[in-house]
Amino acid sequence: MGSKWSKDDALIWLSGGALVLGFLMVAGLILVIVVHGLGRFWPQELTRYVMHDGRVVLGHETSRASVRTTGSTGERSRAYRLRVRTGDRRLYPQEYIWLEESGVAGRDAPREAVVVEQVRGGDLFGYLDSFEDDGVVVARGYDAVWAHYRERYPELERLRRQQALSIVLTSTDGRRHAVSLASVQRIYAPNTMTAWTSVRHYVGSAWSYLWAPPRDENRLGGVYPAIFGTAAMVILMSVVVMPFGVLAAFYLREYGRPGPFLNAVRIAVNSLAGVPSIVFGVFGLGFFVYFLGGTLDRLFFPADLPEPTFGRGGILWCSLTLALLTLPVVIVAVEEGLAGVPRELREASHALGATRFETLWRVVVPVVLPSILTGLILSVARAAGTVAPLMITGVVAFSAELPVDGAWPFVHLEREFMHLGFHIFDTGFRPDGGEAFLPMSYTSTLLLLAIVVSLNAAAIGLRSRLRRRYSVAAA
Amino acid sequence: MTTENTPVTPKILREETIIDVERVSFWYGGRAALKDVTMAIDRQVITAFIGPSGCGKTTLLRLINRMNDLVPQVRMTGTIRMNGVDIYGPDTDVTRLRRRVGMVFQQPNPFPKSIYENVAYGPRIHGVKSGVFLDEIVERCLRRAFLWEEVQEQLEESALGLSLGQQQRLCIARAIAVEPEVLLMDEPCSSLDPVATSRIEELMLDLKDDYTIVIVTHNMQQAARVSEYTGFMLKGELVEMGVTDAMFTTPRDRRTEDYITGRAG
Repeated sequence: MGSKWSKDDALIWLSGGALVLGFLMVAGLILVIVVHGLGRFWPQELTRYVMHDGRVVLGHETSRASVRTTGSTGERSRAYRLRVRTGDRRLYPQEYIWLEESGVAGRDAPREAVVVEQVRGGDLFGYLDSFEDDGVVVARGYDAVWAHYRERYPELERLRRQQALSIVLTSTDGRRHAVSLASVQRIYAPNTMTAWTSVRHYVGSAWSYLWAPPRDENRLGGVYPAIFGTAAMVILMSVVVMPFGVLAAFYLREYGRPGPFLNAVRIAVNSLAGVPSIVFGVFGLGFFVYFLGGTLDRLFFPADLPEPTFGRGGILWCSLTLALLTLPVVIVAVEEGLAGVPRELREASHALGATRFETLWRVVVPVVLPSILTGLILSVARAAGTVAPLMITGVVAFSAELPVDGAWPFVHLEREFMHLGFHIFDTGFRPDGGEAFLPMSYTSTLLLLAIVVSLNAAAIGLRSRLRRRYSVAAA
Repeated sequence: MTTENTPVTPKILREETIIDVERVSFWYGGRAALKDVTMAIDRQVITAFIGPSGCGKTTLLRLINRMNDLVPQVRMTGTIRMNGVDIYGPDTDVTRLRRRVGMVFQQPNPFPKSIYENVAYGPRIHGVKSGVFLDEIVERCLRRAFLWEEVQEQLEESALGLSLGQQQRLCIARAIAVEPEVLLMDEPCSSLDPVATSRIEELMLDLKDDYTIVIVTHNMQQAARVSEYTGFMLKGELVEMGVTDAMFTTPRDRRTEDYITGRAG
């Protein structure tokens, strides 16, 4: 027995087991994010719960929790509680409520229950009552209102501007609530949807998630400003970091004379890679925002003082901070590429009478171009996923303005902006009423994950192409 | 001993000498690679350097076009003259020297560019811009390197797609495109199969009418087949130099004899 189980075997099983465990955990995490992130666009059926005490609740179940109870006679039993989303706080006191499952007398899915998505607020759950034009009822009853709405739907954009039009909903307890058509994004009746309309609804929701601004304080709506802000910041950062990183790498590998100075620079670059990102944020706040921004304000915008123009967080300072953060990524990638250029290629060029610069420009640069691209993609992936330093240098949870728009001078480098990573932080960690934000948080996490993974995959693909190229040369 | 293999004396610059090496010693850091080497290389013949690995023959070759300038922490004493001019003198332009002294390396090392661009590289950096003129140079050099027939249909394809033998001939074409006087070859056939090797040897014999060729080789048969003069080096010293046939039949030095008969090295 003992001889069969050598130490080697134990080690193999241990390391294999650890690998499998790690893999399962990652797979589980990704599964949770994908299921929650993609599932929320699917229209959820509205259920009417009739309670034994006469209360009626309309909403959809989000979770079911089991509670252990001890009865009066001492026997233990298990009870269930339902977490039900009841929609916007304007119609019901709370967006989420607990229902004792034992208290539910009956439940059904009324055909006339609708969800009204508002342009700015949350979702309203209720029954269609009437369609009013300046207080005059135009249509009454579910079918009439629905038909009226469907009929006018193609011109909804135009109708929105007519403040007089409104839709009246009744809540489960019979209260009437008028919603101006101007603030209606979309109305749908989830309980009557067929598979086909559900799919269309799903695609529409996913699309508007990508291309619409957020609503109801980031609980709902889209993340377009966050995607735009992230992209704009990353582009700005790349423009700054690439020339610096590439030139630094060329200096380190090609021109610098090996010695204490070069070693010191290398150590500094490596240390830079190990500095916690929040430290970059503090530096960015102190140097870029207060010092540089403050100086710019005194020099160019003295009229606006004490109101700061550049002397507060903004997309420019965030980009510069991240450029510092990702500088080592670029330097290391390009240096690696330069080290991979075969000595024979440089010698061949020199042997033909080429100068050092001609050799660099005509032979080395084309060969390291994929490495430079790899460095760019890796730094972009790093930048897209970094949040901490941005929180103190100019990212905000909600911004009505984009950093690039139609107003002169079109690019507004001093503006605060939305960022996908910060959006996740903002929606995922609310102390109160947090569950209303969670679906959003999951979807944004999935989106960010997808962006970062695809950028890294692109970098890996480029690198392997580069390697193939060299293996041909070495064959 | 015959008079034929009397060492070529470099002291007086003879008419036929193109490169003379005088009392050259060379160190990589603290390690001596060449010890007091003196020799003369004649124009438009093939001179071979033979010797065991690490004997300094490649180092000597790379001194002739100052390739060792690129290596850090080296030191050299002595003089190397080309056409009587000290190539390590203060007035020497290294890039012009390298243009006059071309080099072919051990591993075929075409640039990861098209076949055309490989040959055109040298002329381009030396200022040839006219497309017609470049086309002409490329065709002439590829023909000269016995490669034109094989690649004329694929000039725009990557040079890395060629066979190793073709790549090496491309490197020769690339080297002669800048019209050098001397062609240095550092074991040009060591990574090639026998067929490709014999093609390169044919090419060398054809090229020697126009160029002075200096070849470093491990292969004594190759030296015997192609070269007029051979220098045998051992541990950084030039043991013996003379007419190839004489040296392979009647070496003067015992160490040479040991090496070429396979008893040492």
